[in-house]
Amino acid sequence: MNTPLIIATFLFFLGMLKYLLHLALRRQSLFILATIMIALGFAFQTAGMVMRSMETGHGPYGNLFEYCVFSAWIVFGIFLVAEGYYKIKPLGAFMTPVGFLLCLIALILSPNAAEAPVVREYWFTLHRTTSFLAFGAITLVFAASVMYLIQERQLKAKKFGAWYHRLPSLEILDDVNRKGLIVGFPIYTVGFISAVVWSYQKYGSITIHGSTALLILGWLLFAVASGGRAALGWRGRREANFGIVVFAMVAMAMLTHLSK
Amino acid sequence: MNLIVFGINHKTAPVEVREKLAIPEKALGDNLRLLEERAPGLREKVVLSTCNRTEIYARVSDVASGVDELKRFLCGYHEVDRAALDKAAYVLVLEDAVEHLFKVASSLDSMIVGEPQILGQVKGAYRAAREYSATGAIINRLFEQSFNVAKRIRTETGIAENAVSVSFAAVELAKKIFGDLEGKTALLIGAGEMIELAVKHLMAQGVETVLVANRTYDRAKELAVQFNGEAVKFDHLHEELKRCDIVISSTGAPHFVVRKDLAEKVIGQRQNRPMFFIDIAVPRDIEPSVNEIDNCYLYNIDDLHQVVEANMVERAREAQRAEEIVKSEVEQFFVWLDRLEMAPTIIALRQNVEAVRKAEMEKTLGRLAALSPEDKEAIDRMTQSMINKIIHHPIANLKRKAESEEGHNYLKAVRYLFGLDK
Repeated sequence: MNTPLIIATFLFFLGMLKYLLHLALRRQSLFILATIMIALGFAFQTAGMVMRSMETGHGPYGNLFEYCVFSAWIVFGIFLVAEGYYKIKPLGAFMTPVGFLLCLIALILSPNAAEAPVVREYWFTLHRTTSFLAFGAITLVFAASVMYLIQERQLKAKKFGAWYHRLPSLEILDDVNRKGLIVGFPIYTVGFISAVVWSYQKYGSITIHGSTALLILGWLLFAVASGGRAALGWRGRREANFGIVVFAMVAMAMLTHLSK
Repeated sequence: MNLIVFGINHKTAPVEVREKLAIPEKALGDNLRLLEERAPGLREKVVLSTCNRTEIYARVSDVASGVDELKRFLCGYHEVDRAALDKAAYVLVLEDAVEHLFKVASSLDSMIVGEPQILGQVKGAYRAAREYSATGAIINRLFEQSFNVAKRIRTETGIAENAVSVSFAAVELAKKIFGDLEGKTALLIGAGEMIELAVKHLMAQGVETVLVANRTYDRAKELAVQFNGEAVKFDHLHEELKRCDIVISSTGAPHFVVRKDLAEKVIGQRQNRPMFFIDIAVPRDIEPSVNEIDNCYLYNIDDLHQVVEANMVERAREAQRAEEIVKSEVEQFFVWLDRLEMAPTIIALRQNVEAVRKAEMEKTLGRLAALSPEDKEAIDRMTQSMINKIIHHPIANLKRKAESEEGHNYLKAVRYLFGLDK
């Protein structure tokens, strides 16, 4: 792990802590600081990734270490855009831990981040890029879904505690969930199809084993969630539950798939 | 130099005293002019008068005489009994006065913490005082900072965020469910004061269409005119419900007007778009189990009261945070004030010791007539460099401390120890 990446991980950690503290204390200054930390971390991580690419001569597709760095980068990127667009202040407390966890895994893996032979094939690169992008979108859906379920619980149970005051309206959270699914699903599908094409070109067949089966299952759940929304008017709590299940499924599948 | 606030408010004075001391907006100029005449000890002043308080913020050179002039003026102008005024009035000086103004402007001192009117009233009082040239650099700065403090507290804390009345609580809940109320449709079933108030608040927040249903169609039509809405036949309620996002019910019906099976059907027709039911009626109009349906939210009158209570607690918690902001702003004001007072203090100190030196030199040289002009000049230079050395450290340290929190205390100490305020 090069220096900018270590600095980035540290900044993400500080930013995450500040978002969590902001959730508890609601100090404006904490929120601003947190956003600055994450934005700075993002800049450092971008620099770190460029440096590493120049060293290795390829994109961040070499091994699990690079995958983790890359997917964390996408999660934070999507987070910064979503925060700027929706201005949901507690979003950081729910989304940055996912990104930080990925950085942490990268940090642990980094001593063994040996050079792996890189497959320079169009379909394979497309597969990985789109899959990571979709994962970022699902992380956003996940954060919005958790907040939705908490707020919905408050409103139904008529408990007006700290969460009720801190979390935004159900409508906004449902909208984040919807947009995340609508954008995420086609991208995930492209990732899925490109993997099939690549596998066909290379091996002349598709082999389904443990982790690919999980990924396909994730895709199916994803399809049900976005299809239910588009065709059957599903929304609210049901979609929030789906959001969390899809995230858990895809995250687990991805980690097993990539660590092979 | 001293800043004071002299006044009475809803906590210290009963309405009988407050009403006597209240000054209508139109009379404010007259009041300020008279104050100028009869209380010349008040160098700069702002008179703030609302139904909950009458306060005079002023810069005075002497607190006791300033307050006395003020009391005399008030007793004369308002025909108030001196004893009653003495009992109800409070005088706050310097830090306490500044802190008080910041709290008043940001509504921390109000009867309902977080109410929005007071800031406008403080601004009005300040504007009037400026028009009559009753203020100067210090009071101007003080008031302008108080507006910033109020704004800061409003944006950084939640003291004004949450509804503290039942009808506003309904609006707040609607916003927690729908986000924006723009273009939403509300249905009123029945009539009543609270339901009408709630609808007015909802419309102010962007609710576009109001439907009115009533047992008697004519009454529905009357109400519909009032809200610029549509009257709906009571028997057609079933069909109309699917258009409605918010349903407020307050009929005298002895049985449920909306049952669970109906609500379930309607939600299906609405493709799960959420519905917010507010049941103000006793006995209740809407079957309680409607709240169990996904995307349906049902609140009765007790629930709304519960929201208000929770919000009150939240406001109190936020007010504590606001007080911290006030404290830091008070410090900032005094840093500014000290910087302003620093130069005059140093000049006064120099002049003071220089006067002593001159007087003593004359006295001494008068007695030593035998000295040559060169000797006299040497003594003159020696005394000069002596006093320069003596006051060098006090001045240097004063300048150094000026920007710190203790700066104010040092400044006060220097003025006191060297007798500069005499």
